[in-house]
Amino acid sequence: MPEVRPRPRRGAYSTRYLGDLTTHLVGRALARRHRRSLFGWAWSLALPVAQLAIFSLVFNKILPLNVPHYAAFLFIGITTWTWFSTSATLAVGSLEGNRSLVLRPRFPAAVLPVTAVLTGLVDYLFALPVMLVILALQVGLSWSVVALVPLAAVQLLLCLAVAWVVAPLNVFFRDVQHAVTIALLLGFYLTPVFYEPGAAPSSLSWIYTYNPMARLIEAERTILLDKTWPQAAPLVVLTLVLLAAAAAAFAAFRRVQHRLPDEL
Amino acid sequence: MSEAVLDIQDVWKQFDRRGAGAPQVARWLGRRHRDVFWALRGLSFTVAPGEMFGIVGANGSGKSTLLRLIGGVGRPTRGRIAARREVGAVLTLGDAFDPLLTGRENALTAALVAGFTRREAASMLDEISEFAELEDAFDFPLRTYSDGMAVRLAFSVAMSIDPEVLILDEVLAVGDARFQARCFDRLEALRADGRTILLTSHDAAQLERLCDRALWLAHGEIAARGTPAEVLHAYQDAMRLETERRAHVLPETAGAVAVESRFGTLEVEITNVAVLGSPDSAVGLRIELLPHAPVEEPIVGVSLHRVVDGTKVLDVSTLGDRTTLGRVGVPTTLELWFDRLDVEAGNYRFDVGVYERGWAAVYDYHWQAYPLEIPPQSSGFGPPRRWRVL
Repeated sequence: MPEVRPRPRRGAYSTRYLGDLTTHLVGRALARRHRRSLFGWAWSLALPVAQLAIFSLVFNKILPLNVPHYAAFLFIGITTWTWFSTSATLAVGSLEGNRSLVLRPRFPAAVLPVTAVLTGLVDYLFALPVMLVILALQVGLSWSVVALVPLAAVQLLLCLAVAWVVAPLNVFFRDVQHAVTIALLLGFYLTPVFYEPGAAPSSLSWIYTYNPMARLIEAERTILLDKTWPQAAPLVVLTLVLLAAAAAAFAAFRRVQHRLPDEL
Repeated sequence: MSEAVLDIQDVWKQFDRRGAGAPQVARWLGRRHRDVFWALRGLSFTVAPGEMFGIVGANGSGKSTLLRLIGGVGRPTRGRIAARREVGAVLTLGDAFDPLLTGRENALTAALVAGFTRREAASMLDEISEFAELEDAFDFPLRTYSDGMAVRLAFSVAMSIDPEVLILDEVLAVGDARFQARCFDRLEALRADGRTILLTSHDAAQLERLCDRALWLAHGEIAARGTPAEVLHAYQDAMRLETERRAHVLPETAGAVAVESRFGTLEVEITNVAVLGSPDSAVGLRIELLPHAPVEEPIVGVSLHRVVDGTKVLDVSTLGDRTTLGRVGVPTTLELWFDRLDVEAGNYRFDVGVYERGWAAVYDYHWQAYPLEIPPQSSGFGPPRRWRVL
């Protein structure tokens, strides 16, 4: 059977190519992580479940916070936060860790931070069934869970905006990776992952107002636990702001992209 | 001559030793920052369609920087590079390979990274596997591969990508002789199809055989250009002069077998060589190196000559066998073992040499210094064999 040999192309990348490349790189990142490990994919779940266990113990028994449906409340916060922090952590090293790819002719380096974000998303999706089980046991499920999809899309924008900024920045200033680690640690406590933002004095409420992760987690809890719709206007504003942020971050990435090979 | 495929015009490239962040910070702090150097200084040349163009030069001469820029990776600080066809490059072989993933998965990654969609990449896999002669091993993880297999895979991937302009940076000096011969055949076929090929190699003879034109790069400038024969001979002459200029008065090595001939810069000395084992079993060489200043990744080479007619029966090196010495800053001893030598009975001499990374200069070379006698009728030599009387 005669076959036409594929030939390399010039010009802009096709959407299909970028999709194929990103999917493959995410698959490769996951395969790298799970192959030759005894429990493989189960490790994706181990971190959120371990956090669920320890925070439940501490804040139900030792320092009771008296939050209703605490396990469900907590798991929503943990999974959402973990996606964000995994994205940022993987993204910050994504260019240096794939130096040989960045140094290939015509390689679209902007897909590497995207790969980091999507790898975090896969973990998030793995944790979702567990979340649904906990919800079903504690508050019951309703159709409102589909609202997680648009919320995840908004979070995707946030993760991409952060990833496209920290990844190239860390190539120019290796200090960024350390700063990101500390920022994520502080962010974990300044985001109501395991407590209710209402517990904070009103003088500190601005922390939650301007924290997009706090907004997202609160919206998820409103939908899943209270089974009501969150106020639309702030979420629309948040979406527009994050859309602009992601676009700006991408534009910034494109601007410095040609300088990356010299610094790697 | 038709329109050039590559048009390099007055290209300059500046690098910052401390990274691009440093000058920025210096500016913020109101200081001047001068830790910069020019890797390329005003290069101009053109490459015609269908040409095989060789570039030689010592390490740090700017070869790799130039090839990268031609491949569109990074931009020149000044000047212009115009590529009229799409350029594909193999700047480094297989360094994107993951040892835990299979040959197939790694080949797929490489093809996707080179710009093919998943479907196109998948259609290339059979050809890649076939050219690399990996057979079942194609589906084994890369960590189970011998160096030779990994190199064959990397080269096969590079060949299958088949761009109009192919850049090969020091990748031809790999693999066994038979595979190399097939690679050359493939390159010839590509050239016959009108592809343009740019290559660097430390092997001058190889470049001379393959290339139509050549260019010698020294300290970021063109030192010579023209036919491969002219350029490569000029380059080799200069390298020998450089070695001689750096050479001291050569002292005798203490305790060594009579060194008939010795040369090199002696920045790293071979202080002792001992022949170990016996011709009946394994034969080994213990080589002691004394660096006078730390050097990065020197190459140690060993060859064996038959005394009676001077025929070289064996020629191996750490680089060829993909063994790295890393940074050599203290006296270092290494051993080379041959499980069998498979040579005829007779008298032989070992040559032992230690070279700068990239064969850029000879540190110390002991020519036919270490004798080895293979007694007649010693058992175990020759290919594995058996007799049957029927």
